This record gives sequence, C-alpha cells and structure tokens, in this order.
Amino acid sequence: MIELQDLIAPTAFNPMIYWVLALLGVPMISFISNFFTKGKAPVWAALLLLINTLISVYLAFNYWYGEPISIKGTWFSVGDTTFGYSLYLDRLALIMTVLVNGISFLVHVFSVEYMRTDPRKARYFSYLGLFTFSMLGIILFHNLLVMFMFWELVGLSSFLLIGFWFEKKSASLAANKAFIINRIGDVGLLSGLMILFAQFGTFDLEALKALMVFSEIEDGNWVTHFTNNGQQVMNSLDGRWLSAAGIALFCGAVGKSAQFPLQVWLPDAMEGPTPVSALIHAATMVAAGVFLLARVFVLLDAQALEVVAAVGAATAFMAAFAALSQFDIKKVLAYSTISQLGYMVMAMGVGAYSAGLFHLITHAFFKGGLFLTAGIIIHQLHQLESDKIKFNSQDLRVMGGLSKYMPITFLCFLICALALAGLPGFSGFLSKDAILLNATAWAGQKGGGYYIIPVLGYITVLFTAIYIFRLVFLVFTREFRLPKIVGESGIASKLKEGNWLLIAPAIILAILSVSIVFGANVKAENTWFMQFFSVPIYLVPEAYAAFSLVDLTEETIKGLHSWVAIVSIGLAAIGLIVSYFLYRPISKKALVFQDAPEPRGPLGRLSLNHWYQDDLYEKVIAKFIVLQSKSIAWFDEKVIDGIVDGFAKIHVVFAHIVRWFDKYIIDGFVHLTVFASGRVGQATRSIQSGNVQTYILSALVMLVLLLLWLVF
Amino acid sequence: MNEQSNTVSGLGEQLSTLSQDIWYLAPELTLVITILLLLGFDLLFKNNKNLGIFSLAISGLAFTFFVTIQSFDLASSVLSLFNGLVVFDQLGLVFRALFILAALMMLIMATRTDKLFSDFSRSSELVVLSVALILGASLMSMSVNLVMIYISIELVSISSYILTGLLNGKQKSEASLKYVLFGGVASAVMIYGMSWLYGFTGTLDISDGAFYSGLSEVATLPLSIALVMTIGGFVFKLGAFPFHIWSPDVYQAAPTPIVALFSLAPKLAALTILIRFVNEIPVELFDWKLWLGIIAIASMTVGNFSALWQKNAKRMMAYSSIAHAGFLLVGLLAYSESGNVALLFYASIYLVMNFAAFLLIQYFEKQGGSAELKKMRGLGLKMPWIGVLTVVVMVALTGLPPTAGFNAKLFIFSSLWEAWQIEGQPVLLWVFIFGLLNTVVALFYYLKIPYYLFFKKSENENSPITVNKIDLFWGTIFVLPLLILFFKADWLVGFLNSINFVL
Repeated sequence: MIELQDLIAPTAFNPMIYWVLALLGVPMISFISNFFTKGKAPVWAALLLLINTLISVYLAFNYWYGEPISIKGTWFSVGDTTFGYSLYLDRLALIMTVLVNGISFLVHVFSVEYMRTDPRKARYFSYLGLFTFSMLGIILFHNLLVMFMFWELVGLSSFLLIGFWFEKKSASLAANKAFIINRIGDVGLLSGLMILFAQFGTFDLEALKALMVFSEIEDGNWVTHFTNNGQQVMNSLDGRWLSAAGIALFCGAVGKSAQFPLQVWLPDAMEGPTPVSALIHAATMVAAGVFLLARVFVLLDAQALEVVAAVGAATAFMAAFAALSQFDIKKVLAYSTISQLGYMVMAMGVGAYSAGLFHLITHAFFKGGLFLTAGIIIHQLHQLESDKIKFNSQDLRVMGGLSKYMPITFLCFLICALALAGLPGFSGFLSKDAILLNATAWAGQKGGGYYIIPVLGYITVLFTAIYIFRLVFLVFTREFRLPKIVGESGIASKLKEGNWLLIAPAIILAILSVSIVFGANVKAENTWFMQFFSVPIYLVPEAYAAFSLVDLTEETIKGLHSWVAIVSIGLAAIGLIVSYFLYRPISKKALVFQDAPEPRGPLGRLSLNHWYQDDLYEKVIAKFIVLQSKSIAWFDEKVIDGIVDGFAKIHVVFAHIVRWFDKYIIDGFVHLTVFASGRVGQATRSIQSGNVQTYILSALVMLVLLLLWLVF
Repeated sequence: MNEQSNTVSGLGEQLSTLSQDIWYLAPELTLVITILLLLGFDLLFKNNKNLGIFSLAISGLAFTFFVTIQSFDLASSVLSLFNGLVVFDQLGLVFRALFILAALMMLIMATRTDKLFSDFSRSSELVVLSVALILGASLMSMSVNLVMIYISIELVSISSYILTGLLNGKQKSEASLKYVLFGGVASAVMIYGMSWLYGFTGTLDISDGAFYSGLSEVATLPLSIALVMTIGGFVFKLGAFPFHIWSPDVYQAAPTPIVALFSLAPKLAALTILIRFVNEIPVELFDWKLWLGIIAIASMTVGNFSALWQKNAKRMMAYSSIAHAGFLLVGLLAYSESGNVALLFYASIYLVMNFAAFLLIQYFEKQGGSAELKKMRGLGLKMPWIGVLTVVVMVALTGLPPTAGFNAKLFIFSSLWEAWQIEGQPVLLWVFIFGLLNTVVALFYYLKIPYYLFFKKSENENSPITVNKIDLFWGTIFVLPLLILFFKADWLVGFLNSINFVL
C-alpha cells in the first residue's frame, strides 16, 4: 500500500533551490524596482530579463540530460493535512523557462523603442516583470494549488496589461472582459482541484500521479487505496467523477488558452500594447492552458480527452474561419492564435502529447514574430499620424506596398507567415504535420464520426494559408494606400523601416521559425524535440483510460505519414494560390481595397463577426441573466422584502419591550459590574497614597496575613 | 560537586578550579569589560561623547549576545561552577540572551528622543548602570547559592535605584528614595529569611542535597516563615503582589527606556531564581504552589483593576507589568516540560510587546510632552501608521489574535490546564479562572489608548504632524515580531523545545 506522507515528505536541502529562487526572483525584482526607476525602467528591466534568460539557458544546458529534479517542502498544515509546495525541473519546465524568459527578453527590448514616448512606461515594464514572474511560477511549481495561485497572478498581469491604456474605454472594457471570462474557466479549474483533493488528499502532482496508479474502477465506482500516516484510506466516488475532474481541469485551459466557448476575450485583448499581445496573448500566457494540460495529461481519462479533442478542433476551425475577413491586422493574428491554440489542445486531446508541446514551442516563435513585425508596422504608421492626419494604424485598408519601405520587416513577416501556413522548410510544418498525423491515426483507431476531428484540422490548414497570405499580399504588395485615403501624397516618403531595437527581436524570432532549428529533417519525429519528449502513458484506471498513441505500430504511422504530409502541404499550397488570386497585386479586390466594404454574404458576415458568438453572449445569455436578475429583484423587493418588513415591524414592537428590559435589567447589571470593578480598582489603588511608610507597612501586613492564612 | 567542595583542601587547587570556571562566564566578562571601557572613555573625552558611548555600548552588548549564543552548545549538560555558587545551563542562557536583547532595545529607544539622547550621552553613567543592571540580572539567572542570589539581586537593585534618581527632577528623586527604602526593607526581610534557612540546613547552596534534607526536618511553621520571607524578596524583584507598591511611582518618574528595561530584566531574573528555588523545597512541608498561586491571582487582579483608573500611560503600564508578573507566575505554576516552553515563550513575547509599547508611548510622549492619556487625543489620526502599530501592541498585551500575545496566553493557560488535570490542585483551577477573567478586564484599559488615539478629538485640530522616518522604521521593527510569531509561532517554539530543561 502506498503511503501519502512518503509521497509529499519534504526533500533534503537541494542547492538547486537557489537557482529556482533566482529564476523567480529576478522578474520579481523587476516588478518591484520598476515602481521607482522611472526613466531608467526600460533598460533596467531588459537587463534583468537578459540575466534571467542566461540563467534559464544555463540550467537547460546543465540539467537537460539528468533526471528531473524535485524539491518538496511543507507550506503549512491544518490539523493533520499538510499543504506542501513542490518544484519540479524536468525537460518541459526547462524548455518552457527558456522560452518564456527568451521571448520576454525580446519583447522587453522591442518595448524599449515601442513605449519610448509613453509617460507610464515604468509601470509597463513593472507589469511585464510581474507577468514573467507569475508565468515562471506556473512552470516551476508542481503543486496544483500553488500553480493555481500563479495562474491567477498571470490572469491579473494580463488584465493590467490589456487595460494598460485604461483611458481608452475599449481597453478597460476589454481588460474586464478578459478577466471575467477567465474567471469562468477558473471556477472549472478550481472544481477540478477540489475533486482531486477530495479523492487523494493532496495537490502535489507527483503524488497525484503515484496515487492515481493505485486507484481503480470497481462496479462503476472510482476507488482509491492508499495509507495516510499509516492509516488506511479508501475514497470512493462515482466513476463519472474521474471524467468530471479531467473536464474541470480542462475548463481552466479553456479560459486561459481561449478555447470555445470562452475564446471571445482574446480578440478584444488586442487593445493592449502590441508587444504585450506578442508576449502574453500569443506566445506564452495563452499557452499556459496547454502547459497545464500537459502537466495533468496522464490524469485525464478517455472521455475527458475526447472533450478536449473536440473543443480543440472546433476552436481551430471556427477561429480560422473568422480570421478570413478581418480588417484589423491584430485581429487577424488574434484569431489565428486562437486557431493555433485549438490545434495544440486538439493534439492533447488525441493523446499527441509531444506534438502538442512541439507546436506550443514553434507557435510561440512564429506567432511572436508575426506580432512583433505587426507591431513594427503599427508603430511606424503611427509616426505618420499628426494633429491633421488621423487614421487607424491597425487597419489593413491603410497599408499596402510596405515591402518597399520596410524590407526587413517584410522578410521576417514572410518567414513567420510561411511557418504559420505550415509549408515545408519552416517550423510550423513540422509541428502541424505531427499533430495532423497523430489526429488521423487516432481517428483511424476510433473510426466513424471521430474522423470529423482531423477533417476540421485539415480544413483549418486551408483557411490558415488563405488568411495569412491575404495579410501578406494586402500589407506588403501593390502600393501604399494611405496617401490616397488621407489625400496627401508626400506622406509616403516619411514611412521608414523600424530601428534595430524593433527589428532585432523580430529577426531572431524569424530565424527560430525556420525548421533547421529543430533539425535538418522534414519529418517531425526525427526532430530533436520529438526525440526528447515522448508520449507518457495514461495512469488512470485501465477501464477508463484512453487509447494511447504509444500502442500504434510503426507501420501504421509510416503508412499514414506520407499522405498526411501530402494532404497538408497540398491544402496549404491551395490556400496560398486561392489567396494569390483573390488578393494578388492586380486583382480587382486588391485594387480597390481601401474602399473595401464589410463582407455582405451570410458566410462573410458570419466570419467577420466570429460566428456571432459575442452577440449571442450579449443578446441571449447576458440579456437572459439581466431579465432573470430583474425578476429576482422584483421577487426580492416585493415578496422577500415584504416578509422582512413584516418581521421588522414585529421586531420593532418586540424590540421596545427588549429595550426596556435591557435598559433597566441588563444595563443595570452591567452598571453594577462596572461600579463594582471600579470600587475594587479604587480599593487596590488606594494603597498608593504616596507615603512610603504606608507602602512598607501595607506590604508587610499583607505578607503576614498571607502567611497566617497559609499556616492556619 | 558539593562533596568535592568540602574535600578540596589546598588553596592552589581551589584557585585553579576557579580560573577554569571563569571562562564559562564569558558573557558576564564581556559585560564587565564593556562597563570598564565605557568608564574609561568617559574619563578620557570631554565633549561629543554620544557616538562613542553608544557605539561602545551597542558593540559590547552585541558581542555579549554573540558570546551567549556561542556558549549554547557548552551548556548541553548542566555544569556547577565556582564550587556551587552558580550553575551554567541553557535555561539561564536563554534568559541572558533576552536580557541583552532588552538592553539593546533600550539603547535604540534612547536614541529616538533628543532629550533622552543627550541625557544618555552627557556622561556614561546611565549606560554603565544599565549594563550593570543586566550584569546583575544575568548573575541572578544562574545563581544557586543564597549569598550569590542576595548579591546579584542587590546589584540589580542598587543600579535600579540610581537609574531612577540619576536625572534631575523632584519627582525622580522622590521616586528613587521611595524605591531605596522599600527595596531596603524587602532585602532585609529576604536576608532574614535566608539566615533562617542557613540555620536550618547549614549550607548556602540550594542545589546541595543537604539543603533539601535539612529543610525536610524542620517543623512547618518556622519553615513557612523562613520561606515566605525569602520568597518575599524575590517577589519584590518580580514586582508582584504584595511587593508591587513601589512600581507605579518609579515607572512614572523614570525615563521611558529605563522603565522598559525595569519592566523586563529584573522580573525575568527573579523568575529564574524562583524556578530554581522552588525546585529545592519539600512540597510536603510547604505548599509553594498554593502560595505562588495566591500571589499570581492577587497580582493579576490588583494590577489589572488598578490600571483601569490610570490617566497616565506609563503608570498604566506599571500596573500592567504587575499583572504580567502574575501571568509569568502562571507559567511557573504549570511546572512541566510544556509549561516551561510556554513560560519562555511568554517571556520572549513579553519582552517584545513591552518594549514596543514603551517605544510607542515614548513617541506620543515626544509629541504631547507627557504620557498623560488626554495628551494623546486624536494623535492616531495624525500619525496613522504609529496609531495602527499601537493598536497591534495593545491587542497583543491584552492577548488577542492576530498577535503573538494570544499564542503566549494560549500556551501558558493550556499548560496550566494540563497541570491541573494531572495534579488536581484546586488552586491551579482558581488561577486559571482568575487569569481568564483578568484578560477581559485588561481589554478595557489597554484599548483605552487606541480609543484616545482615534476616537477623541484632538485639541489643536489643524496642526499636522510629520513623523520621522526612522521612528516609523523602529516602530515597525519592534511590532513586526508580534504579528510574525502569531502566524509562525512554531519558529520560536521549535527553538525553545530544543532547550535542555534539567535544573
């Protein structure tokens, strides 16, 4: 029988804790110190993040091949229940710290230029520090409760950064929306935590995994067997709670990783500064949901995983469809992010653990790169604005032909776009290919209706290629449309390439989006990433466990691989061609794009409004809630208040009686007590006459009296 | 050991034992050296002595603290030194460390008011006498010989008399004289009792087996008279009933940092003597628990009820310290392993909260000119941070959460309850009941200070007060342990549990 206390016992002191504290401490220092640094904040914060990046790289190189390092300690105890904290440094944690720190550092550098004229930039960098700190907390801690706390901190920093320009009404509304919708997901996550705690009595992930192995399904009941402090524990729940726990944990990921039906906050979150969108709402924070899924992966049962896969596929498809017709460059990228996150979640759902994580990493680089280059464009266009000339610097309609003015930006954008579309030679191809291959193999095993999931994945590939090349063509080719719109032709010559602080981070991210970074290979399973991250085996009771991809034979994979690759490359190529014919420099659509109206057809409107999901929430759910609360208010006012008022009247009458009693009987008693203790005080104090002879005499008399009483 | 002291014949051999034992007294030696250095410095320099005096005193005390901590391992088993004059054990070391901390806190307090700072540094006398007081208290905490006990008590007493009256002022001289006379009588009673004890047993060494066996053969009446008189002297230093009458006058007159020291070091030292002394008394013949229980009840009641009427914060704290002497005796009554931990915990928390309270009162004294409660009206709103700190300290002194004062009271009363359940002596239950009732009474007068600070309108509404940043810093540092040790009481308890309590 397995003993819970052994599993969560504090480990011996391990000097690694200093490194972990450094990793968490440096961004924390950035957070605190930047309240005081004022003008020096950008350089100081960037320097701190550089230090942290170096630390994480050093750790990754040193501990990559070793066993995972686990540090546990006691946080506090309530009665017999001990709440611990545990740190866990495995390859996943190592590579995530490098990723988060690295991209955070690049975004810091980028922001030095981007936020140069902002009066509140010290606060901005401070918030970035808070975000990095909390994100690293999620990564390094291996205890669900502690992770949940950092999870909330990440939500807080996201809220602060989305609403950074809070004078703008839309920004503060977007921040509220993100925060509130994330809370819905967090309620789910919290319920998942509670189910697991009720069953196992610990939040420690390692312990949960070990205990899960010893739980089993007996007569449809989910039963755990372990000992706690030597006492045998047997917790039994209905078997469906096991699925419920997995789905509840997934709810947290649905909120944070913007999955259907809670994805509506992410497009609005683009109200924040663009580097923030790159760091938080594209590369790192939104991936936290996927990271959480990876951490609890082995605790999910078949049903929960099916839900995960379905939600992921639906999200990927819906968002890619919505991205087709947006006019705001950041909105396109936002929907694209949702869609790609859908891929990762889908991958987790079909059991493609390593493919999902691989996509997390590659996506972080190319989407970060796309956002940063978009940021350069927005920033440089913004420079053209003046008191007389006003325009929306994020609108695709004012752009066009920018490759002439900003060649390096164009090149970076193009590389990242190719990676996103999943064309061979770029990182996105490898990871997407791996996901699609696994999803197809999974559907092949399950058969029938399950094929809808990979099919949605394939359609998304097509849409992805269309919308991203639509961006490439509309932004960079043909001619600069702004002069025509504002009616001032001289303005075009003022547009310049961004300076090196803006360009350098984008270049680095573009380089990291080339597939050679992950190995000179066209097959995903031959990349170093896939070699190092193998799919773990499910630990849930066998009756409930999902089919594991590990059980697939190599032949099945090989057989599928070539045609999966062909279909996905083919679809991407078709998307590229469709996009070319629609938006190529001389196409009709491109020529008059500055006057392009909003799409009219039912499909177009569906896409532009993102399936009317926001309207649905606003007009149906929100309205329903308002109506309901109105009726409750009526009930409360008329019925409950009426009863309460009636009671109150009776009470008033009663109170008068009580008052009389209180005034004369109770108060009388209290006054008597006060009077009595006052008298006692007067008496004991009265010895203090000030005459020293009296003092001595009274002391001695009391001594003698005590003695007499004692002896007789 | 005692056998040895009788058989040692050659003078040389005795001297060599003494010269070996002296090294165990390293903390006391450093205190003596500090005193000598301070005196020498005072003679050599004429002007601007403040920096020198304070740095000498603080570094001397800090070094002593260091040495005390260092000797902790040496005391893992109890050693009897100087042919049974003193014992060297961990219990004594804990108290000595507390005394030195108290002295350091006193010096910090002294720097916070300009007038006190110049008083303390005009000549080294105040500092030298304070260090001498600490030296006396340290010796008290390790004495097991009646003569040694008497001498160390007198060292503390004489230092205290002078400290009270050293500064100019009629009130101070009067209080000092009362103190001397009262203390003289108490000493006389005590040494008379001791002479009886010597007559009964023929030995001065209370840890000697002959002491116990000698006492066992005496009739109850003479034994009771002798013991009551002897313990009366200890109770005088403890400031408990019935020898408490001196304290309000002295507390009101003496400078606030000195008062804070008075309310701590002699009390705790007397407590250690009591711990050692009652351990050697045959319980069958003299029921010391009953006796100390009555003293504890009386001290708590007299202290708390008298405090209700006070209009001066320092005088109020004097009565509060009488009441606390009663609470400290509760720990002694719950005489067991857990009772001793509770006692030491209470003593440590009492040190912190007492000093914090006096420091904050000193701040208000600086603003209003005196420690009268009515001068504090509305100050809490003008100095919000200091006001909030005061509330925390007062809540701690009452013994309510979320402060360590609550843990201290909880530990001490729960160990008393345990003791009552094991031994079933009715007096323990009475102490328990009176202790809890007194805590309620204490609430009224302790919260009187926050009441004056926040709810009474101040006389001159519009004069804003700027509080010195360093004042805020020290205030916070003094108060912070009370909050931390509430949430993390196990830090201190864990350390205290590791102490070897063999007497």
